[in-house]
Amino acid sequence: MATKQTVLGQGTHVVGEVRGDDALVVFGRVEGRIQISEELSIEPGAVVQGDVEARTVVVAGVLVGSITATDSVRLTPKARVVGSISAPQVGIEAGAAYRGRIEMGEVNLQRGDVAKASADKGRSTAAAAPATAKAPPRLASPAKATPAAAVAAPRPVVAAPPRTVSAPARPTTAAAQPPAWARKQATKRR
Amino acid sequence: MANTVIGTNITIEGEIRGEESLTIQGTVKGKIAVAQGLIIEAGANVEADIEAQSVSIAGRLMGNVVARDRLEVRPEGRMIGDAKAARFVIADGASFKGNVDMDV
Repeated sequence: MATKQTVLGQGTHVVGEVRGDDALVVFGRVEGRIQISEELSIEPGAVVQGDVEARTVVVAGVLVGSITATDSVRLTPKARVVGSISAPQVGIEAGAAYRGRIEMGEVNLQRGDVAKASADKGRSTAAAAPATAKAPPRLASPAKATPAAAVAAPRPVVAAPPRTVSAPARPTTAAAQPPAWARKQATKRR
Repeated sequence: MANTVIGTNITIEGEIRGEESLTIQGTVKGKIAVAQGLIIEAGANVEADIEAQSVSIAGRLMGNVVARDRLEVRPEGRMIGDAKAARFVIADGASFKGNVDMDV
């Protein structure tokens, strides 16, 4: 086995912090922060609860916590992830379940820009604008998780970053249901 | 599947529990409890209380060890702490400071 690689096996459970300069492969469980300067792979069957930081992160297991990568993040079809992602490159493959906010390094929009742009466009986007303006800093609260995210087995304390507390009870309704005027138009057409 | 190896440049602070064997080449601070063998390789630095089936120390260990079967401090190993094991070996060249309890 390569000496420059650290492996946490299937039956291994770490509670605490893991950091260093080697690549890390997790088959087991980690509760706590991971901070390495090489590649981190979370293999199928692995469960990580805690924020992770690495050069590249590849997830095929379950991760509850934020991901920060200096290079790239890849969620493979088996991944179940809840938490924000921040990396220059992010790939989510078909089949992966993910809930959270993604921030790619190259995008340099100010937070107000989306709301402003929507307001300028006028009525057609009016319904969506408030949602977009408010939604980004929040994650959906775990209470009404999507079916896909519900698969992410454990729902531990870490699952809910503090800010989710203020999330509206049903943030999706506004977007899912067309505004009244749109519905009227639809009826007229019929 | 893969056994657990904690590489040279890795530090773990906290608790490690496992049902398999564990090899440490890096740094661990906290507590270790494994169902099988624990190997602390030369160059490794461990500050932890340990519970394992067997323990082999070639690095530095500061902490108490309970080995259900065998504890060995190898020639390059250094250990400070109490040792409790059914069988206990201190190789020539090793350094050890602490109490020994061999269940007599």
